[in-house]
Parts: sequence; structure tokens; C-alpha cells
Amino acid sequence: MIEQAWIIAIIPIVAWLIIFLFAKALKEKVAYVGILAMGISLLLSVLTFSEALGGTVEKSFPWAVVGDIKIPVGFQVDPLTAVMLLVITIVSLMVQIYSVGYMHGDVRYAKYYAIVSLFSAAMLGLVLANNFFWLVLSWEIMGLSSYLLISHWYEKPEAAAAGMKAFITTRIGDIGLLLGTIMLFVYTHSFEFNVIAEKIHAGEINQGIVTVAALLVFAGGVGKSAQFPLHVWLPDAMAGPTPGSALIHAATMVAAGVYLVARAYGIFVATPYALFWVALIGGFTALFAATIATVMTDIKKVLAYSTVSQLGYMMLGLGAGSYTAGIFHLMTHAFFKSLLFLGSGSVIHAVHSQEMHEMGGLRKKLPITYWTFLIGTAALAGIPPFSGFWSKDEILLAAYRSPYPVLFWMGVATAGLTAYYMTRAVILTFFGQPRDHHKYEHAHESPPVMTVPLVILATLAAVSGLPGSPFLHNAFGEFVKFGHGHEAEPSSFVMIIAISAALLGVLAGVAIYGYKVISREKAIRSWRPLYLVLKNKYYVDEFYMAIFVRGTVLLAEIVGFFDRYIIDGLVNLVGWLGMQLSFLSGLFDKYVIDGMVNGVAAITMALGNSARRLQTGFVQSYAITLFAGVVIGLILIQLIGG
Amino acid sequence: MVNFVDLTVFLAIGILLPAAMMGAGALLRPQRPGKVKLEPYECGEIPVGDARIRYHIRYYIFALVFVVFDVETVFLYPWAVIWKSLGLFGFVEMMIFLGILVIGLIYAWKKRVLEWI
Amino acid sequence: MSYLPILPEIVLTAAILFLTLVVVFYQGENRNGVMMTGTIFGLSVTLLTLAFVPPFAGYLFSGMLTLDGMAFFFRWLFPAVGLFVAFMAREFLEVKKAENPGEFYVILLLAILGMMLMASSGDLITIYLGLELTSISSYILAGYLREDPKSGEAAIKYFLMGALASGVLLFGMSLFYGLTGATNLVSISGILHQVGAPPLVLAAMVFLIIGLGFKVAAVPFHMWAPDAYEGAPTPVTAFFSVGPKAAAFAAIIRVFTDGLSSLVWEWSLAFAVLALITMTLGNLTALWQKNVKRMLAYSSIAHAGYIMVGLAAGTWQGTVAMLLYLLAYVFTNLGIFAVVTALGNREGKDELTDFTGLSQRSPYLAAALVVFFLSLIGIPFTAGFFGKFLLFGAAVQSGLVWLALVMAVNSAISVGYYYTVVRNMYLVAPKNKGALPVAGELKLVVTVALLVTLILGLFFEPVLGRLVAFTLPG
Repeated sequence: MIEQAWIIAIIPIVAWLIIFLFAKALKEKVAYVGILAMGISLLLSVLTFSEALGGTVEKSFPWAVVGDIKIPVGFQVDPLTAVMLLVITIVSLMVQIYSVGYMHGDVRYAKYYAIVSLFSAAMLGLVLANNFFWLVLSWEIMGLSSYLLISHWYEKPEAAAAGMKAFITTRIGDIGLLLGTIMLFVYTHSFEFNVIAEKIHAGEINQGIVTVAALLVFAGGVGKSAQFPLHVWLPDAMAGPTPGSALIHAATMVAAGVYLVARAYGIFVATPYALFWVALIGGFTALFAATIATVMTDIKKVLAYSTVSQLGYMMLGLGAGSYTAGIFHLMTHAFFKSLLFLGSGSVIHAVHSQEMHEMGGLRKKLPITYWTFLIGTAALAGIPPFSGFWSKDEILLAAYRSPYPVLFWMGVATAGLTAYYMTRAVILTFFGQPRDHHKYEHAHESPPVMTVPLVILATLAAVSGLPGSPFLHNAFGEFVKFGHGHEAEPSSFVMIIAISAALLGVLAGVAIYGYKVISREKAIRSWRPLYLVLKNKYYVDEFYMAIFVRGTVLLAEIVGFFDRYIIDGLVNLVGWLGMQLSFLSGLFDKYVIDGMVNGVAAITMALGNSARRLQTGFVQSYAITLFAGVVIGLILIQLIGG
Repeated sequence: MVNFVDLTVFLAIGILLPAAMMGAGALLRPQRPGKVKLEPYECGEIPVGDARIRYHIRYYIFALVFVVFDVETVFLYPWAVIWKSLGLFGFVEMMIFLGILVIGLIYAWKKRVLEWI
Repeated sequence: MSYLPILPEIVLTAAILFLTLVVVFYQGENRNGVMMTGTIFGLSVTLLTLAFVPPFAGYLFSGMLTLDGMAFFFRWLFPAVGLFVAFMAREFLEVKKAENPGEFYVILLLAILGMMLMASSGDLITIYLGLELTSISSYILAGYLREDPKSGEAAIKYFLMGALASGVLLFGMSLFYGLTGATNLVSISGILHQVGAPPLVLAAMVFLIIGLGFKVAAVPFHMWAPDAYEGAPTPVTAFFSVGPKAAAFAAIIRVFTDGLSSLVWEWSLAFAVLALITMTLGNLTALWQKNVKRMLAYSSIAHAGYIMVGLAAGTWQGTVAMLLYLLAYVFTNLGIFAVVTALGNREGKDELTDFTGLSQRSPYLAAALVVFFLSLIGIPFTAGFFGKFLLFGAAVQSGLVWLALVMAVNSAISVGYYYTVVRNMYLVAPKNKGALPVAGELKLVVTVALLVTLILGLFFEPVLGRLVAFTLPG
């Protein structure tokens, strides 16, 4: 199977086509098309994975050749790809099964499944690609499907705005990726990861250029994985359907940035600065987002900031030099975060609200959701023996062994905060007295089509950390590694610190929200400025608003008539510039050329030929331009060519 | 390179000679302008109205058809001079050329271009 | 016999003459349909002859014609364009109640004959002959709807400006004749290699660049194009945007790479500047248009700018890229205009707002239009991608990285105006409800254009291989 691994990505495309073409005839049966396709893909991925244990495969042949420019088409299956294939197909399958219940009766049901299938195909294509060309292509299709999904309910203005915001924000990173790709291509004459890495390894490329290229590629990852300062789109993206968010904005697509860094690791390791920046941005984002998550009251927003934070964690792991740790956390995170999202979807389905303050006491009403959510929380908080503990521990270990101890302490603080806000979320949602009795009365457990995926994912969230644990002799690390893999010495100090941080976070959460030892209101009052800063997400959105949107609007007011063309300053900043230029060229056409003509015509009139002006106006102007061109061309060519 | 001295002399003679002739004529002839003498010369016809009038479109079409056959004649003359040495090939070629023009003529005829109003 | 290689042109001429007689002698009700059938038959036979005539490469009629790979490419492309336009025209002429629908086809065929002549000429005289045959036919076609003042305006503007540009071109040609004593491109090339680049030769070159630049609607010689495109009957606009434009590019390649090969540094620089201005101005102005034909006129100006990047490269890779780009562009644009024609036949105004809700009124046409736009933008898996990619590659290889980047930025700008149409089709409620009736032949045209766009997008390697073989130097 491994020799034909590309089929895995083709199957969802076929599903997408079928859904797209027969949406009207199939109605809600389109779900089975998507699920069947993903089931087959999962099966093939398992086969591929088992074969990949025996060795890697890379196949490539030129698709288009012009001179020494060549676009390859090719795929590879190495341990990284094999693991990613499994993760994507499992999560996608679970999400699609779950969506049968969640999306039932939606106005654009078929469109939803079409997007999910298209997305899955793009993501699978991304991890199979062995070159930057196909990677960027899949990357863009993923971006498009993400945009379509966020604005799925485009009647809601916030959904439409969030879609636009996501599209534009990630675009900034994408430009970096594109430039990085072109730059690497110009210097190495290749799109293929292996060839590029080899050439860099052989020292053929200037160190400075490699650093710049690596940072440009990383910019793509920053955008897609919602790292600071491009993280603003992900929380807003929660306006989309929850299961879609679970798939795209929690488990897989956002991890593509992490995957990208891992895939291009050969470029990053060649230059110390690049990895340092990866670690720094990752660590900072992890801590930064975790603090915001502690005050969010919308359950999906908590999970969204948690996702941003955990993606930062993965970046931290990669940046600290542990390829294995970053990917390991990517895998465990995909399982437990999709579980948490689907669990929150189940809660939202039951109470029709995303506000945690309108929930409470739901554990009796939603037992399965409660238990699975609890497992997910334990995994995310890093409670042993659940999966998150093992992967976090590895990242912390890598940070501890890295030359920058500050990274380690950032990670520890994040781990504590993570445990705290998840405990808070669980207590607010499932414990205590129901705060909204009307909603509580109407709440009921979701149908099996939604709970079964929860149970499966909960199982994975519980046990998927074991391959990376000492119990299985760190099998994951033996399989997925960069080069020969030089794993850091295990350290009991790190493990103790990690567990303590997690327990401390849980205790704090229980103390404040469970037993109310510390009054929440009092704490907010005494820390009010900090609380406000966090509540407003460090004012990043406001800052961008002020800089880009207000700035643009201000400029627009100065220029006056451009105002109506600025629908959404930031969003249209680029388009606006284009518009401005075109307007100027229009003005040029209209006034300068015409003016010239009219001037000529006026002189002609003064000379006595007064009656014939109307007829000749425009064609004259064209003729004058033509001959002005002749004259200018003649002068220029004599100046340059002589 | 052309000899510029020759050219200059030629130009000078070209300008001076007509100027001298017309100047002499103007000096020698008697000057008695009259109404009839100042009228534009139109082959003996008496001019009526303004010269700037709208012509009927048919004049143009006639002119176009005329030009076509005029050019045809221009081609026919040199062909006729050496048609023996061109042989059969030359004959066939010219017949094709004429045939194309005949089709044009048929078209014009059927479109009633050749009728006046 | 030296006539055999040009049998396709002879067949086409015979078809033209025959159809001229049909126009006046066939008096039946269905003249329009009969003429369309005759035209399609004539063009098909032309294409068949082209396929079966024994391959010939070399010069004919003392160097008047150059039959090489590039000539073959264009002689094949232009009748195909004619087929598309003929299919598009029938219903349009019927709906617009055009007087004398029959002659339309004859004039169209004449223009195509002129284009074929241009592409295979080896002499300034034949280039001019082909150019004028094409241009004069085009003027008539532009004004074909006599009752429509816009059509008349288009024709008179196109004619006046075209005549001026022809004058400029002819002046340049006569300068070359005066300077080199030859009109044959090969002879001119030989002499220029000896004399180098004296100022007068450069001046003559400028006249040629401007004269031909006018025909491809390069900025700043483009001003006729939006008016002519907007006013002309839609199938004719489709024809203008691909046919005479491609033919003029063929002539440019002929004149500059065959005749003025020693001045490659000078003219590639000139074309680089023209390309830059043309694509930028074309795209920016297109953003502002409300009329779809005018928008497409500016879009086609911008595309002429992209194609000139191949000339700016000044290498045979550049030429290959231009040919492939033209191929992709021609079929994509014909597909777009088929959709515009189908819509215009029912709605009549060709405004951008006519496209509202097209996805509900005719899902097939809407989806096809999206694919065509993707191709014009240059998204992978469509024909346009490879055209852009090859041009990009040719520019980079010639060290014109800045021009390649400008091209990429322009592609991004162009998304803006194409997206307006897509948004109208998919996200705006229709102005007129109800399914859009589409004539069968228009559906056929759209389908064929769609297939070509997609097949070229996926498997362009064989086409490219042939083109490279055609144009390889030596």
C-alpha cells in the first residue's frame, strides 16, 4: 500500500466531487459518501503506517519541465507522514460521523460535507507532498476550505467577518511561505524537501539566506498555526460549525504550521537563529494564550485559546530541538482537543448556548459527554497517565535541556495555567448548581451518532501517550525522529515539576470554582487591571484595529472620496491600495489626456475652426496618445540604445 | 553617399526656374479681373451651391468597385506583355485572379450596387 | 509543387468565394443557419487539410512565406478560433436582428485568412497584407450591428485608430526598406547583423513596435480597445480579444525574432517596459468597470501585458511561453465570451449586474465561468497556470526577476475584478429569476473550451513538448 499512498488523498477528492455534483439528489445522504471515503482512507492509512514501520518511500517524477525549472509531482511516506495520515483520517472520520447528528437539518448540509471532504483531501495531500510546490497548493486549498467553513453561516455578520479575518490574517503568513519557497527554489533549483535539505546540509547556500528563508517559511506556520502575533483569527473562527472547528481549527489544519516546521526541519537546523525564533514565538504564544483562556467565559473561546497555547507548545518543542516531542504533542493534542471540541459541541447542542455561566450541573444530564470531556481535560492538563502528560513532559524536557532555561519555565507556567483553566471549564460546565434552569431542563444527552465518536476519541486521548512513555520503551521516539535522533536524558526533576504544575493548576481551579475557598469576585476586584487586560485579550485586536483600520480610515478621510471603497479597512488594505492606483490611472485617463485634448481643441477653436469639436473629441485624444507614444519612444530609444 | 553639391544645385534650379517663369508671366500679362474670371474652373459647367455637400453613399461604392477594376487592369497589362513566356501556368493563375474578381462583381451585381437608386 | 503546403489557405479561400455566392443566391428563410453550417464546414475542411498535408518546413514564394513550427501552430489555432466564433454568432445575430447575417461569416473567414497569412509570412509585405486583410475585416465586424449606435462608434473609432497605426507601422517598414534595401525578414536580419544599431534603425524599430503594439492593444496604444470591445457585437468582441491579438503577436514574433534578432537587447527592453505598463494599467482599470465587455477588454489588455513578458525575455523559452500562454488564453477567453454571449442574448445589456444569481439560473455556465476565471488568474490545474508559469520561468531565466514579480502581483490584483463576477453569480440574488435558456451551440462552445482549459491544465507536457520542438533554435 505504501507504494500507492497517494490514493489516500485522492479518495476524499472523489467524495468531494460526488457530493458537489449530486448534492441535490443525495440530500443528507451525502454524509455517508464522506464517511465511507474517509473510512477507506483510514484503512489505507493504517496499512501504510504498518508498512512505514519497515522503511520509508519517496517517489517523484517531473510534472512540468522548462529548461532547468521543473515542477515535480511526488509523495513520500516517512514516519512523520505516516503518523499524520493516521491522525488526520481518524479525526476526520470521527468528526464526520459526529456531524451526522450535529449538523442534522442544517440549511447547507451538503456544502458542509463537501468542505470537510475537500479539506481532508488537501490536508492529506499536504502531508504526502514531498515538495514545496504541492505543499503550498494544498496549503492554499486548506485555507480556502477553512474560510468557507468559518463563514458557513454567512447570514450571521460575525461569521462572515470572522471568515474574512481568518483569510486575510493567514494570508500574511502565506505570503511569507510563498516568498520562502521561491527563495529556496531560486537558490537550490528545487522544490523537493530532501534535495533542498541536502544542498543546505552540504553548505552550498549562504547561511544568512538559509536563515531568512527559514524564517519566511516559519511565517507561514505562524499564520496557519495562529501563533503570536497572527493568532487573532483563530478565536473568531469559532463562529463556524463546532465539529468543523474540531477538525480544522483544533486538530489538523492549525497543526499544519507545526507540521511545516517539522517537514522543513532540515532547513531550520542548519541555522541556530531560526530554531531560536521558533522556540521563542512558540513559548511566548503558549503562555500568552493560556493567560487569556483563564478568563474566557465562552466554552469554545476557552478551547480556542487553549489550542493557540498548545500549538505554541508544539512550536516550543520543535524550537527547543526536539523534533519528536513536537510531533508527539501534535498527535496527542489532535486526539484530546478534537475530543474536547466535540464534547463542547455536545454541550452546546444540549443547552443551545456557549456561555459557561449559563450552564452548570450538566454532569447528571450528559453523563457520556461529561466523562469523555473529563478524560480530555485530564489529557490536556497533563495528568498522568493520560496522553497529554507524556507529550508535554517530552517538550518540557527538551526545553530544560536547551540552552535557554527561560523556555522551560514558560512551559511550566503554561502547564499550570492549562490545568487551571480546564478545571475551571469543567467545574463551570458540569458541576455545581444549574445557573439557567430553563436551559438545564431542556438539556438531554446527544444521540449515539455523536457520543460514539466521543468515546472513541476519549480512548485515544487516554492511551495515545503510551507509545511515547517509558512503558513502551519510547517507541514513538524510536519511530519518529530527525536524523539519528538524539533524545534528551530523561529527568525526574522535569517530571516532578510538570506534575506539580498540573496538580497546582487543578487545585487552584477546584479551590476557586469548586469550593470557592477564594472568592472569584474578590480576586477579580483586587486584580482588576490585570483581569481587564486578559478579558480584552491584551487588546491585540484593538491595537490592530487602531493601527490598521483606524489608520486606514483616517487616511481615507483625508483622501475623501475613497471612503466608500473601504468596507473593512484592514481587510481591504491591499485591495484599497490597488483601487487607489487604478483610480489615479482613471483620473489620468479622464483628466490629463482629455485635458490635453481639450487644450489642443481649444487652441484649434481659437484659430477659427469652431464648429467641429464635438465629433472629434475622443478619437483625437487616442491619436494624440499614439503619436505622443511614437515621439517618447523615439527619444527614449535614442537615449538608451544610442 | 549622394553628392550633396549636385543635389543642392538641382534643388536651386528646381525652385528658381518655375519662380522665374511665373514671375515673368505676372509682370508681363495685363491685370483685368472680372466676375466670370474669378469663378472656380469646373470643366465649363456653371458652379451651383457650396462645395461642401453630402454625397450619396453610392458614389463611394461606385468608386470602390472602380478602384478594384482599375487595379485589375494594372495587373493585366504586364501580364499581357509576357503571357506567352509564362505559359499555361500563368494563364491559369490570371484566370483564377479574374475569377475571384468576377465573384466580387457578381456579388455587387446581386446586391444591386450597379443600379442607380 | 509549391502550392501544396498552402493547400489549407487555398481551401479556405475557396470556401470564402463559395460562401460569397451562397449569400446572394440562397434566398431561403434560414440563411443564418445555412451560412453558419457552411462556415463550419469550410473551417473544418481547412483544419483537416492542414492535418493531412505532408509536413513542409522552409520558405515559399521567394521567402514571402515562412512555414515553420510556429506557422503551423497559428495556422491551426486561427481556424479553431473561427469555429468557436461562428458557433457563437448564429443566435446572437438572430436575437439582435442583424441585417445581412450571411456576410458576417464571410468577413470572419476573410479575417482568419489574413491572420493565417500574418503568422506564416516571411516578409514585411506579406505581414502588412495579412494585417490589413485582418484589420479591414475587423472594422466591418465591429460595426456589424448597423442600427446600434455603440456598434457604429466602435467601428469608426477602431477604423480611424487602426488606420493611423497602420500608417505608423508602414512608415517603420518603409524605413527598414530604405535602410536595408530589403523587405524579406531573413535578408533584413543579415544586413542588420553587419551594420549594428545606428540611430535610424532604432527609430524604425520604434515605429514597428508601436504599430504592432497598437494591434495587441499595449498601453499606451490601447485606448481604442475598450470602446471597440464594448461596442462591437459580443461574438466579435470574443474574436477581437483572441484572434487579431494572437495574430499580431505572431507578427511581432516574426518581425522581432526573425528579422531584428540582432537588436534583441533593445527591443526586449522596450517590451519589458510596455509589458510592465500594460499589465498594471490594464488590471487596475479593470477593477473599475461596470460593463462586463469593457472589463474583459481591460482584462485582455492586461493579458497582452503578460504575454509581452515572453518578448521581454528575448529567448526561445520566452517564445514557447508566449505560444503556450496564447493557447491557454485563447480558449479560456472564448469560453468566457460564450457565457457572456449566452447571457447577453437574453439580458441584452452586458452589465456586471446581469450575472447576479447565475449559479441558480444556469449552474453549468456559472461553474464553467469560475474555471475560466481561475485559468485567467493562473491557478494550477487550469491551462492558464502553465502559461503563467512558463512566462515566469522565461523571465527569471533572462534575469527579469522584477518583471516576474510584477506579473505575480498583477495576477493577484486581477482576482479582484474576476471575483466581483463570481460573487454576483453565487452570493447575490438573481435580478431576473428563472432558468436561463442557452442555445445548444453555445453550450458546445463552453464545454469544448472547458475541456481544453482543464486538459491543458493537467497534461500540458505533450503540448509543450511539441511547441518546444517547433520553436527550438537551429
